[in-house]
Amino acid sequence: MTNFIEILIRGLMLGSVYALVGMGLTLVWGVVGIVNIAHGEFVMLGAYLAFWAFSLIHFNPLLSVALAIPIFFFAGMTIHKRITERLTKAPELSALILTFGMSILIWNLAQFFWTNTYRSVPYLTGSFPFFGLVFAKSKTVSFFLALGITAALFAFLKYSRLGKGIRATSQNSEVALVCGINTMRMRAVTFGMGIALAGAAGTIVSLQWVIFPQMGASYVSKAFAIVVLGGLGNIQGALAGGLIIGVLESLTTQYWSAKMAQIIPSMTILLILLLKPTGLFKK
Amino acid sequence: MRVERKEEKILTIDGLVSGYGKMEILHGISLSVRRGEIVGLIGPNGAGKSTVLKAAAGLLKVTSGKVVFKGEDVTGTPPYRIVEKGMAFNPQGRVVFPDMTVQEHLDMGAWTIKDRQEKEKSLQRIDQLFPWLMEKKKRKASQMSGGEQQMLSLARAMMIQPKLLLLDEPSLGLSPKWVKTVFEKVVEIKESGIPCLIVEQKAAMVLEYSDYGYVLEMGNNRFEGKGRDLLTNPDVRRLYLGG
Repeated sequence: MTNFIEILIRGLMLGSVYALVGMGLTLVWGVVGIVNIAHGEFVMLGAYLAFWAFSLIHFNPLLSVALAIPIFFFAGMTIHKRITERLTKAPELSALILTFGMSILIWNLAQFFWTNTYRSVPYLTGSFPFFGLVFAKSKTVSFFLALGITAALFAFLKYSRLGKGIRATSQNSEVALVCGINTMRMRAVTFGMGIALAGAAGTIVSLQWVIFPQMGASYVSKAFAIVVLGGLGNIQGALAGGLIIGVLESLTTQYWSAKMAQIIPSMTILLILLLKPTGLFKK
Repeated sequence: MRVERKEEKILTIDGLVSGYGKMEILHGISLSVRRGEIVGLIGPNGAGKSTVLKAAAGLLKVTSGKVVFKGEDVTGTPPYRIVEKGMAFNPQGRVVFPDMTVQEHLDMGAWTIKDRQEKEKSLQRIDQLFPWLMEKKKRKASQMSGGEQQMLSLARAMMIQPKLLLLDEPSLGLSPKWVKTVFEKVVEIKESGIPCLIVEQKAAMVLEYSDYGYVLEMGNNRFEGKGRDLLTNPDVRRLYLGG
């Protein structure tokens, strides 16, 4: 029983980080209307940011989250203004193809500059006991970081002026426009936030897993499963979806095999689309 | 049938050509809204009534012609700048943010108002106009009836203390009782000094309330005149009011 609870909690910890990636994807999809296939590449870039900051100047990897959020936010806004903004009125397929190309470009550049060597950030290793359960330090810290960012995101969207403008734009962009909201700017800010969430998630995963140029692929597939689970554009749904995927992965790894855990995202997408295409949660 | 209208022009649209992308809908529309007026804009489906409003509010590209608001040429101004100048727009159909509360709608309506006191003044005004709304501040729009949503949208538009109110088919999908309530509210708004330009499918209804009316057909001006004159005009009756 203690073992089961431990596995469950590990799943939630894992899922909290997946949720960050998923929330970024669903936010951009819902508000900007762009399916960003390159979303996972920003997780990878975030992980490399933490790695290089740590190995070059011994920058504390826990603080690299704070570094990543503004950097990725402004990078995301710039990418949107220069490249993806023109896609908001184009057919969805154009966005798919463009961001797919972007994804390939980014991980190839990463491979070119940083090689295929597996990297890791040796910080906060080891584990600690907690009421008879055992948890990895890095994963526990990651969990709280992810929860903190999630809470900040929710509060921002609910209470801040900009957050309300973003919600208004996503729920009815015509009415938002006639309220005097610059919806184009809202979309750029949202794109930046989506990329910032991916980058932040990247710095967090650098604490727990190996870093390599193609690592984004597994995160983007999980993020898609999360978006499908939670319902398109549904942020709370994505949080729940992320936790569900994390727990499923943790349980499958423990009671079946790590290989089987790899098929969870695609199985989830398949089942949800067959049984409840609007996602598990009402918006 | 033209009548002399002496009041100051709040909105003048002159030879407006506009449409969606390459599809031209309006082929040179002219109309005006003067101080103290409700102006009705009617015509069959596809006449371009809504397009006129959207082009005036800056939501559509104007190919040629002019939109003059309070003596200032605002042709091609982005919508969020036009709002700041005091033109409020109540669009057609989906008029609310379904997942947002009444309070949040009013906040969004006041998006361009920086001054706290001005916003407070607007809220007091809304409280007078829609007292029941202020009792439902925490209600989400999706939990309200179509009529309530339309009123919420009106309240939202009124937050900028507009100098002109554009309404696109406010009666759409409402019960006759709500239609009457909405129009009476519009009259109240007009009487408080805010002229209104209303596009309506329910032509006879809107002319009843209008000081002046325009009839469009296929993106061109067809008739114009005082609301009551248009109502009794045999051509207008036969063509647009169903006999």
